[in-house]
Amino acid sequence: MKPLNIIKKLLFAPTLLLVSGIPSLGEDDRSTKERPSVLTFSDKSRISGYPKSVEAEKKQLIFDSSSLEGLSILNTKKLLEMTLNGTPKKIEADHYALATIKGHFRDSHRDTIRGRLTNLDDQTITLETWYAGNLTLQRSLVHSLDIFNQSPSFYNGPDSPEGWVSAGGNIEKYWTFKNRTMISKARSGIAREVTIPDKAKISFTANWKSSPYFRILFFSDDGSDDYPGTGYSLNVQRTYMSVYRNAPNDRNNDIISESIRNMLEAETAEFTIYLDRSKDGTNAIHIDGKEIGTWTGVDDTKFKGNWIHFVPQNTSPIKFSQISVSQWDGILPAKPENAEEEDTGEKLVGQEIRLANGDVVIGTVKSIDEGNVSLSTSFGDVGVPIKLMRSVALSEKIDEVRMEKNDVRCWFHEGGYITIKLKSLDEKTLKGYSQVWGEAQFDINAFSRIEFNIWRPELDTARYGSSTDW
Amino acid sequence: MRTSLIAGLTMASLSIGQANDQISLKNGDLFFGKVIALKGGLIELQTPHSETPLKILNKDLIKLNFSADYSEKETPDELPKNSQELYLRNGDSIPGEVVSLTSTHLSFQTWFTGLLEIPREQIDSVFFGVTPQRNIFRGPSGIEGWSQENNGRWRYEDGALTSREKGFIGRDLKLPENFIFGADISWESSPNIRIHLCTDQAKPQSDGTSNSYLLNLNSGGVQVRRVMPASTNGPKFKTLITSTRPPGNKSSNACQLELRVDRVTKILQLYLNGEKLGQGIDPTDSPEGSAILFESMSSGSSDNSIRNIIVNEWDTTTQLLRREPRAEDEIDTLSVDDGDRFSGRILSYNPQDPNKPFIVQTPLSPNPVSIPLENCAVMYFTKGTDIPKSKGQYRLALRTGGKLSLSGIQLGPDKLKANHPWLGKLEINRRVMLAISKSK
Repeated sequence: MKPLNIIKKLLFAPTLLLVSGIPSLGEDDRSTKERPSVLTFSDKSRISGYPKSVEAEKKQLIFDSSSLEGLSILNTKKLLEMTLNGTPKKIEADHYALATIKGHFRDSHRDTIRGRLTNLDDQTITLETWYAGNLTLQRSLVHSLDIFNQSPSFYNGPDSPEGWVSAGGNIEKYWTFKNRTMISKARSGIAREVTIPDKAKISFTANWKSSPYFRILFFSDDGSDDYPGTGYSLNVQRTYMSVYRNAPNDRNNDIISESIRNMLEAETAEFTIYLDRSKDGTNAIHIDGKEIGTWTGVDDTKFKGNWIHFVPQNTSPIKFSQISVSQWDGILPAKPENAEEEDTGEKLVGQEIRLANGDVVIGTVKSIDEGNVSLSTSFGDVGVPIKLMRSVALSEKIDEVRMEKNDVRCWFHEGGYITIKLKSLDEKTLKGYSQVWGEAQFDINAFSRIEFNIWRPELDTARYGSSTDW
Repeated sequence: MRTSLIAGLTMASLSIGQANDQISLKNGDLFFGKVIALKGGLIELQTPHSETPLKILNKDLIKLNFSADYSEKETPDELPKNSQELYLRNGDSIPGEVVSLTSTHLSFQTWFTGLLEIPREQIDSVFFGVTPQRNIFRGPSGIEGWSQENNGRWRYEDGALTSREKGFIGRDLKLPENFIFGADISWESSPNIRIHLCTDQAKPQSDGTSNSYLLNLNSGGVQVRRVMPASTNGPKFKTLITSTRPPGNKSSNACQLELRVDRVTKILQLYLNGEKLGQGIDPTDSPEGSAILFESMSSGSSDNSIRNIIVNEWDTTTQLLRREPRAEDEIDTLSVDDGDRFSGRILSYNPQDPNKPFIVQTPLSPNPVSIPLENCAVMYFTKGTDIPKSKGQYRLALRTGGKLSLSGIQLGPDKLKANHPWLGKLEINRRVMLAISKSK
């Protein structure tokens, strides 16, 4: 990646005006009639009610369930997850910063924290959040930092048929949902609308019984039609994969046609679609971590549709799970043969900051104040409104976050999740520790569910289902 | 990628080993563990998720299933068996033995709740020769354990194996020499399914040969054929039983099939929806295989489903459990195994004289008729004065067959105490309990 110089227009950037501030944190608008939480245990026990408290060290959860007499003290040793139904605060901010945390040892999950960027220095990144106040992150443990004008949308699922539509009309007739997996019963496709960021990563796992035969559509403009007018179609048929692009007012393209012979013996595969919607962006398809094809030179900002479809091409059941749509930093995974390749060009001192107009600034952050970043560059000091920033390149030092005994994975209502070493939880707050930000206290309304015992692989079958579980 | 039958069987036995009492509530809550008490509107459940037993409010109970492995001393197959089943006029049914009959009461001995003195007017019927046979298979409970080469054609959902396309699914059920196979078959548009029994093949042969019995179900009726091995000279099939009665009707796209196979005497009996369609004799040496294959012949536009598959060992004397119809409501009726029916008044039962225990006074004979117990098939009692139907708050399903309406239930470690609306207070041995559900 070659840094550019500061462009004049940046210097004339309009003075930032905050649309509105961060709302106060003290408000409690939780409805007393909110839906109960649901506990799911590894033996498929399911208990609904309201969590009163959790003591992580004691592995103890005090739970108020209408199914049980009085308060019950439950053991969390085999607890898989607890759903939460509080209402998250709606935030209107001048910008939305998203820090993607480095992974835990050999685990593919990547935590993301969103908030308002208030400080950035050599050691730390500080985000102001409505759910945990100021979180000061260890910069060495942050994989990437991206800035958005709108709150970034994510999807992780599938959890239930809610939000999905089927071209056949009746979802339950054509699809079964269980163990956060959706299983086709017929050829009718299923779709949902997910706002796809400018740089996005769409990933999912597919399982099949005989041979893979399905289509994945994205940027589609019609969720109710398995053959929408515009969008991409990724087609998998036995040992062959193709990608077809149908853009509005554009020539239709066959993007990729590749043999994928190693799929013949497999019953499952992880697909990852890397998308950079800009005209010069590079896009790629990976299957099980291996690059199958790339394409570039297409302007995908012209797609207005945000539907993602999963369309079986025969009646043989197929499972889709671990579907994730998330922000992507724009850097494709290194290929083994050029992983060691180094940029021999002259390097400027400082951190690389990408701007909304595509420009890149190399400099050192001196201060952040009222939504403006003051940068020290080789051209002198420059003020940049944070809302005009897009990303900040961080340390490439290989580092990872420790796995802790009482780690829980807390899923945000807005998408994404964070891993916290749980200390305690009550009706309003969750207290915990992370190597990334230290001790913190979270408003429980930020989370839609909490996964427990996440580092116990013996519970994975109960949590995710098994390949024989159809 | 075909799962071997052996692997499938291993999976099946593993899943059985994890059995547990299961409590389902209306709000979707689901609990697993060991029910240690049920009283005062509470179910106490021992579970690994709590140091102390959970106290579950039973006001929203849908069903409580008792695990088969509750008893550490006995398996369900070792539970005492009864060859008679008594039906009360409120729909309850009780396995046991008639020990006496007077002008007002029938005494019915059960192993799980002792002797019941039941007024005649509360009894609908007593069936004889209904000894529960050793269960070989009951399912399906998942796709595990089943194998299909053209994978994916068959799927498991809502307790059924279902296929929309042509394809087979099979399993080695270790069919014994004599067995009763039963299953509920349903379809979307029209039935089209083949069931291969006593096969040793992992899949149907393309040339149609095999060494098995073939049960063929389609909209034209039901047929049982002997499929001959490839080495046999002559026709590939020998038709043993044929019925042109459509398996479903306008209001139902489902039927219950039962095939009784006696490989020693080579006699097969076919039942549809509880009614005997016919009997056939296999003129060849019986097939020796122990597996079963379901072959969907659907063309891809509609589902065929199979659920409630039951395979029991057959002692071959249990062939009387077929509902001979009641003659008239106003008189008693005793049907015997050859189809004869004696209507009038069943006067008494004397267990001291097993050759002539039942005495029936019929209008056709001046003297009462004696019926040996071994010939009795079903005994209907006069539907006298209308007794208001009475149902308890709960319904108890028995592991050995039968069901009881109960109220005020209290479950202890060994016994269930409850009130039956007609029979009064009962103490029921816990080992017989299969499930408790709320009455509708």
